[in-house]
Amino acid sequence: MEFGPHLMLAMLEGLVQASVLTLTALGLSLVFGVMRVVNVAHGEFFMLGAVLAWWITSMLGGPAAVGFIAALIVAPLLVGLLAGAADWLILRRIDYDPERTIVATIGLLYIIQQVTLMTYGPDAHPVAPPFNTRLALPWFEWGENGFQMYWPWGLSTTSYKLFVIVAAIVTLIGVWLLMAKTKIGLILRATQLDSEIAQAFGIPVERIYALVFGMGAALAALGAVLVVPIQQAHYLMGADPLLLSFIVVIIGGLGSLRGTVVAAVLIGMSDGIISVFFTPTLAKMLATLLVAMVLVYRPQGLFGAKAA
Amino acid sequence: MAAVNLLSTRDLSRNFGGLQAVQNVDFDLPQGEIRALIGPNGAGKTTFVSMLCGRIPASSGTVTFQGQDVTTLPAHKRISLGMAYTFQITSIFGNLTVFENVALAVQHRLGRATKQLQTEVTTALTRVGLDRRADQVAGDLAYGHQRLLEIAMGLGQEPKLLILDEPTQGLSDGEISEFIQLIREVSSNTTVLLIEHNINVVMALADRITVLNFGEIIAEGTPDEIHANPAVQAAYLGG
Amino acid sequence: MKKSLPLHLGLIALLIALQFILPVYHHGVLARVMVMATYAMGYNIMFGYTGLLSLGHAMFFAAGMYGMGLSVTQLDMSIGPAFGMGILASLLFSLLVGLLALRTIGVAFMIVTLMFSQTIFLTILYFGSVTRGDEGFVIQQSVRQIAGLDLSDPTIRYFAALTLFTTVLLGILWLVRAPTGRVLIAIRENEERAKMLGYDTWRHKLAAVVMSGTVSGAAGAAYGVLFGYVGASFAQVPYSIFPLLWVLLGGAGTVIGPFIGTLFMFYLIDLSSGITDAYMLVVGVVLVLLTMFARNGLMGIVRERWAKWLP
Repeated sequence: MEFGPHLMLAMLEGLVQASVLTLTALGLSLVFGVMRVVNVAHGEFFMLGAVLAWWITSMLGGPAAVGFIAALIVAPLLVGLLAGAADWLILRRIDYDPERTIVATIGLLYIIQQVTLMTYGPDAHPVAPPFNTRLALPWFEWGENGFQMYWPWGLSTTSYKLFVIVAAIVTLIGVWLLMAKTKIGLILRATQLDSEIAQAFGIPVERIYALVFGMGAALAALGAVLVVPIQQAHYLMGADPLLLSFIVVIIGGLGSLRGTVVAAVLIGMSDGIISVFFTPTLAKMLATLLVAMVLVYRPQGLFGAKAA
Repeated sequence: MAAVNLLSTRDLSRNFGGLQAVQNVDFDLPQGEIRALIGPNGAGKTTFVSMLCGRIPASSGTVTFQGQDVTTLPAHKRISLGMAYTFQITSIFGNLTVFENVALAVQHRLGRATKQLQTEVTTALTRVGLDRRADQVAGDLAYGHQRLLEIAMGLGQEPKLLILDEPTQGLSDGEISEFIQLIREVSSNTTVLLIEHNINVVMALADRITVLNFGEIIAEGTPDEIHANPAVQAAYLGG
Repeated sequence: MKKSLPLHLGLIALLIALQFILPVYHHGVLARVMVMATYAMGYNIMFGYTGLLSLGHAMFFAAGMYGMGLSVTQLDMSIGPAFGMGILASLLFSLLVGLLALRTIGVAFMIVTLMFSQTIFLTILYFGSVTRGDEGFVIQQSVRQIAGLDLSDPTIRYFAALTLFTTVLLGILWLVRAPTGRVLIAIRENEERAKMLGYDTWRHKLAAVVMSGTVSGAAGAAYGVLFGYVGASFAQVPYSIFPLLWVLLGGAGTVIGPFIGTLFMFYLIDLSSGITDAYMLVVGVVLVLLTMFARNGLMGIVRERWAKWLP
């Protein structure tokens, strides 16, 4: 395939990855923004979403679309509940101290991961997408008669992949509406700004934290359910999303939702493109190095507010 | 005989965003003097002295110590030149013993943990009356005793300039009298800059008083002069 | 010092004695424990004594390991100088990391160290033609000879590991009493106060990072020398989590804690891997319980309850 079409293919793949990454990173950013803690187990909530999706679709059987829709609703809900419980039982007890939370969530990471290993097993299992028609994409070429459209072989995408992109956008709009226009969104933003004053106003801060932690996990799980028909569900699949979400949230600015979205698109796209043209290893290498350097020289990320 | 200025500032200012906390302050502190810095709450006293010792950077202006421009020097270097600062909000090593707290202050000067360190720490602790509590964990001390520990740490550094930020807050009357006695002794070979709200302490100790309000010096003079100054009275009463 | 020196020398003596008492299987385990405990002691310099939580220490371990290993395979060095190269590599590398990472604090510091560590791991994979990537490479037995001693022999290996362990243990015991060590503790307790007593805290923190990284690298190099294998798995995240786990369990900020923690976890994991493949579950549970209920670790509790003098 020539360079042009190849690039377009890479960009499309990148866009799909970016969509999933946006949802996942948004979950992490939400938790940090409101609770000021870093959840190292975030990738495992992602993985749980995928594993539960497989479990639900296998249990229900029948046409793929039915199982998938069920998974899309139930898996994030279950993961959210689990996360909320973890927050209530563990994080609340350690007072959301930043250092202790990181250690505790590392522990949680291993617990979730290993229990999954014990029950789901070490193998990867696929989940069938609800629909999957191949769509050939056109490319342009300067020929004898001016611009001509043609369909290069191999330049295609699937209807499902387009669905993922659309679903991510819809969810983003939903989250934005929730935060900006509803009462619960107002409460969340108030708690983020000043949890002590929020408490003085009667907001049950600890319950809000459990809700937020659950929401963050549910977003990651949702992203995983969307991506699992494209990848497969595997007990170690949480590591990459965790790393990439970290990168996105830091570069976008911890706690800035707008920054998260912009960074996710950028990073998802570049990861996708570099992975296609070079190797995934190089892509990740550059990404991790970039994150470290951004933190070292510009701790507030690209969009975050500078600390006084 | 003109006294040498140990510390001077010219045009020293600090703003936080839009808020002008300290404005164009010219300040001179002669060697050997006990100077009190007073003013209503929020006048900028702690901000001012924090710029002197380097805890916070100045927005503009200069600070000169012993004839040397220290404006851009980091805090630890200024301390090493001979300044000591005791915190307004007690800042000690809560999990270490009283002895270890002062030992850290002395160690920097002496360079090695030696016999002399032991003697000097004990001396400092005795001067503030904490020698019997040397092995107690600092965090377990009563608030007033923690303030005394702060002072002991300042003394342990044997500074040329001792900056005390509201040192008598939380002390009992007896402890305050002892404190006044202590500072009188100390001032024979140390210059003292004292932020205080307790007017009795100020009147008993200060050679001169500088009055700050809204980040500016509104009056400077002997205790009697300040006492009679209408601008000062207005600042405190007018609030 | 009166009680602590005998205690620590007693531990050394015990370890010497155990070599003669214990069955051969345990020689290998204890040798591994001692090398890993050295790694944990290195970690403890930064975490327990200076209060800097790094999530990327595997990079220092790996720097030492690969510094040594690549000197053997690429530069044809003999084992002694190669070990020295491993230490040099980790020293220089920790200096570089310290200069960059110390520009951040708190959570940012943790993430920066994690990211640097990931970069190193990925770099090792990327240059797989030289490093043999994930597979790793073996240091031949013929190379692992020094002064006529065969380091692959279980007994020699045990005493070599013990020598490393003893050197570092006594070194740290000295450090926490020395003025520098006291300043590190002061920085951990209240960094601003330490600054306002005249200490250049940045320089002390850098020293802590370099000491910590070099000791960790020495452990990595030693592991490669004594067990004959260099591999990328040692640069991965679990090997950054392990020293944190061992130190937390044994007691951060105590000299002997890292060894206790390492020993305990080794045998605990040994036990659990006999039961299930998912033995890392134990790691997770222990971490959560520790951070919720026993932040000072085993030796920390001992120090609080019975032995206030424990360094």
